[in-house]
Amino acid sequence: MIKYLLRRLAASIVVLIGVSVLIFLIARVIPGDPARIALGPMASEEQVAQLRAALFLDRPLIAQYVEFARNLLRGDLGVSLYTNRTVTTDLRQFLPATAELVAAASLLMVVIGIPLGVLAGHFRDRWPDHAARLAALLGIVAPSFVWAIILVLVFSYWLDLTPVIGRLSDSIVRPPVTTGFVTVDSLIAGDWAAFKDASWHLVLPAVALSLSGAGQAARLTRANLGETYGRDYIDLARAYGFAGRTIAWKYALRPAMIPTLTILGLDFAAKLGNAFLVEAVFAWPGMARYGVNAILNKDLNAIVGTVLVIGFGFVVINLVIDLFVAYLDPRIRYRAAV
Amino acid sequence: MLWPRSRLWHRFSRNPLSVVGFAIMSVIVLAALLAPWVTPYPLHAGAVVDISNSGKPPSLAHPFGTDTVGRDILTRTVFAYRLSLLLGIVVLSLATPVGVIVGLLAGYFAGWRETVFMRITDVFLSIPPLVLALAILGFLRPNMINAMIAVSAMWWPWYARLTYNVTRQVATEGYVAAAEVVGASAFHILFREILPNCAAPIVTKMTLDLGFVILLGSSLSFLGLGVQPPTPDLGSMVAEGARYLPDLWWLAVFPGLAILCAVLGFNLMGDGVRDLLDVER
Repeated sequence: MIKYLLRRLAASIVVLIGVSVLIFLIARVIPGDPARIALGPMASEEQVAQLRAALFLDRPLIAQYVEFARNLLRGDLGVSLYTNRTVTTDLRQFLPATAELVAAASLLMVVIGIPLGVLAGHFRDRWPDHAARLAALLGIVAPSFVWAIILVLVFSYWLDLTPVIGRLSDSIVRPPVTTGFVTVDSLIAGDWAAFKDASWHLVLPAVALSLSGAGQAARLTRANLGETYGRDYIDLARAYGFAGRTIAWKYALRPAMIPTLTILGLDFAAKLGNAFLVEAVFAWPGMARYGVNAILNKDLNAIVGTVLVIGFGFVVINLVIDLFVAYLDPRIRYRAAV
Repeated sequence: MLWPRSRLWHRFSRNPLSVVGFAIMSVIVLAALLAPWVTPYPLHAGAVVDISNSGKPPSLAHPFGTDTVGRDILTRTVFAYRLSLLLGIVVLSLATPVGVIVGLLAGYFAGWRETVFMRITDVFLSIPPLVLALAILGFLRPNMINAMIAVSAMWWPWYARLTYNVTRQVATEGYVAAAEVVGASAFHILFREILPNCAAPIVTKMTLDLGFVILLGSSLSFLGLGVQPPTPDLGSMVAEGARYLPDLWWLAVFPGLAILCAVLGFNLMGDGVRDLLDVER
C-alpha cells in the first residue's frame, strides 16, 4: 500500500507541475503582450513597460516560469488587476461557495445515479431498465445550464417551492464562517432556520449540476452489474436461495461500485467546469462570476489563479479517490506493488 | 453507406434507438443546410426588429414564440444549428488528426516519446475541458473562430488517449512484427498497418463527440465567450432568454431543448455506429 501510495503521489506531482507549466504557457504565449492587454490600448508605452517589468515579462520565458513557480509555492498568485486585491484573497472568498455546490452535486450524483443503475441492472431489458436508461441519457445530453433553467422555471417560478437565486435569503443572518459551506456552518452554529434556508437554496443548483454525472454513474453501474451478474458466485448465491434484493445490494453491487467511484473522480473535472454555467443561472456567488469577469477583463493573474486552483483540486481529488479505490480493491495495490 | 435496405442498415437498425438518433440527426442537418428555404422567417436570422410582434408566446404562426424584438425563435434556432454543426465539424477535423498522430507515436515508439507525449496528454486531461477552453479564450478575443481554437485545443487529448490504447494493443500483433522484419518504414507501419485498426473506435468517438462539441460550444457562448450577436447561436439565445424568466420562458427553453435534441441525436447515432463497427465500450 505504501509503495502504491508513493508511486501515485509521484505521478500526481508530475501532473501538477505540468498543469502549472501549461497554464503559465497559455497565459504568457497566447496573448502576445499581457501587459498591453491588461492596460488596454489607451495606456502609454511607459506604463506598459512598467507593468512588464513588474510582471517579469521582460525576462526570458524560463526565468519567468521559475519566478512564477516560486511565488506559487509561497501561495502567492499575484494581484488581480481588476479587484486590486491579491488573487488568493479573492479565491478564498469565492471558492467555498463553488466547493459547496460541487460537493453537494457529487453527493447527489451518487444518490441518484447508483440506485438508478441498480434498478436498470436488476430489471435488465424490462421496462424499468428502459425508463432508467432514458433518464440517464437525458441527464447526459442536456447541458447543465439547460437543466438549471428548466428546474428553476418549474420548481421556483411555476410551483414556487424553491428560491430563485443566491445561497441564503436576505432575512436570514449568515452563521459564523468555520468551513465556508453555509449548510455546514449553520449546523455547527445550531441554527436550524439558516440550515433549512441554505439547503433550499442549494438543492436546485446541485441537482442541475449532478444530472450529467448521475447519468454516467447509472450507465456504468448498470454495465458493471451486468458483468458481475454473469459471475459464478452470483449463481451460487442464487442456488443458496438468497433473496434477489440481497444478491443485488450485497453481492453484485460491491464489485460494480469500483469503476463508478473512479468515474466520480473523473467527473469532478466536468463538475468544476459546469459549475461556471450553473452558478451563472442561479447567481451563485462562487468562482464562476469571478472567473468570467476575469476573462472578460483580461485579468491575467485572476485567470491563472482560477484555472490553477481548479486543476489542482481535480488532481488532488483524483489522488484521494484512487487511494480509496486501492484500499477497497486489494488487486489494484498488489498489482502496482509487483 | 448507411442506406435503407442495405446490410449495414439492417445491422444498424437492430436497435430502434439508433434509428431514432439517425432520424433526429438527419432532420437537424437537413434543416440547417436548407435553413433559408425551410424556415418561416429567414430574415429573422439577422438583426431584424419587429416590435409589434415582440415577446409573443408559442402559436401557429410562431411555434417557438418570438423574442423581445419580435424575431421568430424557430427560425433563429434552425439558423443557430448551422453554427453549431460548423463548430462540431471544424473542431473534430482539427483535434482528431493531432490526437491520433500523438497517440500513434506514443503508442508505437516506447521510451521517452511515450512518456513525454502521454504526460502532456495527462496534463491536458487534468484540467476541466470547459475551464481550459475558458482560459484560452481569456487571452483571445471572444468570437466564433477563437472558440473553435479553444475547443480544439482541449479536445485532442481524448483522441490521443484512445489511439494510444489501441496502438499499444495492435503494436504487438504478428503483422506489425512482419512489416518490421521486411524493413517497412515507420511511416508505413504507423499509417498503413496500425491506423486502420484504430479507425473503428475513432469514427465511433467522432460521432458521439459531435454532440458533445456542440454542447461545449453552446456552453461557451452561454457565458458570452463564443459567437457574438446578432448571429443566432443556441447558447447565447439561452443566456439572453434566461434574463426574461419566467414570463418569456420560451426564449430560453426552446433553444435549450434544441441543444438537448442535437446532443441526443448524435449520441444515439453514435451508439448505433458503435454496434455497427463492433467497437467495445
